[in-house]
Amino acid sequence: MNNPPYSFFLFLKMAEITTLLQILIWGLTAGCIYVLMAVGLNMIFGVMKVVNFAHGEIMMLGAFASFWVYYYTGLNPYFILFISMIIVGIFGVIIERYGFRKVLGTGKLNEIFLSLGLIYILQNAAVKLWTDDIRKIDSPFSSMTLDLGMLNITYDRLIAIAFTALILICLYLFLTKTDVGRALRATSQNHEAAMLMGVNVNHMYMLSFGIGAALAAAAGTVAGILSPFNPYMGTIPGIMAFTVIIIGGLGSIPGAIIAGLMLGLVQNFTIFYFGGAWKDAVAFVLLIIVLIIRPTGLFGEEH
Amino acid sequence: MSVKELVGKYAVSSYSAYLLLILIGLVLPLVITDDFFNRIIVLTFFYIMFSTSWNLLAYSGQASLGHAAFLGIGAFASTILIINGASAVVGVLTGALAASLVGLFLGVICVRLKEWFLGLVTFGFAIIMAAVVNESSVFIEAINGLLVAIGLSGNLDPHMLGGSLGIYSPNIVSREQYYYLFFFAMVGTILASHLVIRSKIGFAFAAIRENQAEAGMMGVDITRYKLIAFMISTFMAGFAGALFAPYNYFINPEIFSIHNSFMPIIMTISGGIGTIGGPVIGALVINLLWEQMGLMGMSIDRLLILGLILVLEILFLPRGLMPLMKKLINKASGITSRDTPL
Repeated sequence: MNNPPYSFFLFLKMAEITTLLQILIWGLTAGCIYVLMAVGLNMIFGVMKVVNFAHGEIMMLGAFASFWVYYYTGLNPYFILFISMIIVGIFGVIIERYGFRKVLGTGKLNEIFLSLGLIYILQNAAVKLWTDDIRKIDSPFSSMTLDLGMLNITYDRLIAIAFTALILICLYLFLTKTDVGRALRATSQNHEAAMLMGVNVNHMYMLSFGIGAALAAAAGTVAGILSPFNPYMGTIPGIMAFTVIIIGGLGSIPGAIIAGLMLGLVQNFTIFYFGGAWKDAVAFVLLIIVLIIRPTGLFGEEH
Repeated sequence: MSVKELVGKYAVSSYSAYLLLILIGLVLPLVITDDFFNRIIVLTFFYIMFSTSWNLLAYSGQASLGHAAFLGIGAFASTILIINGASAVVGVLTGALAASLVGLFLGVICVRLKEWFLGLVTFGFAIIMAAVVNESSVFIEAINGLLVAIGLSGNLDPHMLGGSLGIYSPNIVSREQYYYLFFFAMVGTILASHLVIRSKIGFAFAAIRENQAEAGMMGVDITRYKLIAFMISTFMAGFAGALFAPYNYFINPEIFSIHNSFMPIIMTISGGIGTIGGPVIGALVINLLWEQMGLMGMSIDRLLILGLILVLEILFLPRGLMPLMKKLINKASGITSRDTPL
């Protein structure tokens, strides 16, 4: 008669349910960072057919851009997120224009090697300029939590999830409702046909790289608010983003979103049940399973 | 001069050049007796083996971005076996075989997919291997066991071992013996790579690299040859790793680092990707540059410079130093043919 609302989980104790919810929130926030990274990678891949291996380093630049803007202006970090997206987006355009553009079409391996070189340059230039000290972007909400009885959720995590959703909705509207967005999608579907229809494909390349870099900057800022970072922060999220785009399907944005959230959740449950060491290994196992069962990923098409 | 004479001259000059290099390699330890330089040369030999291994895979159109994984597997597997009582030969060969089997596994998964997948999978694999090794007790035992086996106590700073201090002191194997071990291993690796590339298998690799669809239509079994490339290449990498662990007297999860995956790439591209001499020249130049920058006290800067070198080479010198060298050699020897030694 007086069944508590969680009677569905009768075999679980209250404490366990709160733990599970806590892990769910952590998993979702981790997943949001992967989603932002992976959607950006897929934007670049879809339009340019280039995998940017230095995406994790661009994310790191985003965190540092936010950090320095915050350091000098003291503005709200969630506002700075957008400034950082613009700065790093412009930087991405420059990388495309003077780096990837030059090797496009000279062989896939050259593009891969170029982005490997960029990893070295960006990471070590960051260490050189800003040292490898651990830094953190302080959020005004860092000490505030949403108190739901036994469950405490920090506002920062909720805002991270909300911002990810907001950015993705903006991206969706941009891609579907504006002419430039349509041109971008046309280029990704068939770039010769798009060229014949009067789309300036070179501009689309720059734009896609810029958007990809801006999304990585958003991911970096969110990661920098949630946890401390240094110039090496990008390596693991970068690899996880690759894992996500393979699981979700190369070039598929819905696939990246679903696979990103899934990977975040799986990793956080793995941390809880098996220990932190296995969180990267589990991602790799997941990747291998997907590649064996369905090499095109969950939502991918044949390339 | 007739074509026949030209070919004759080319063949003679090519082989005599090889013999001269081998001769120089053989007498070098008699000239250079300094421990520090000896170590640098041995490391160069090691990198030549490692780059040759990577180059062979790239020759078939497959780029591994995590070749350190196979190096590390070879090193750890052989160390675990040797400290558990296996003989050195068995340990090293089994280590290389273990790397080769893991390589085959990754190759099987990626063989039908595009270049990206192999790059992503190998790149991730090396880093995840590092994380797994960090946490698993078998490997920690191997790390400590290696130190115990050679009579050094547990908590040693790896940097202390990097100089000429502790490196050669307690072991039975002398500096010269290690030099010759690495020298012959390197010559063997290059020879193996040469034989593979010049054989039918090598032609199949090149055909797949240039145009996979066409190669398939001409009857090349793409899956089979790609996997053969993977197995040979990872065997070589594992072999290099298995030799490196006892020489270095120290292994840790750092062996799986991105840096170790990058070195063969940068070296091979600097020398000339897809050539037999490319990895040799590249490893020599880059390793000497690397050590020189180390002597000058650069740590972060030298990584930055390596990145710049790679990017600039991809943009402006994608075929590496080999074509330049060939031009110089041709000029010096008066050969006008495009087909050249090395």
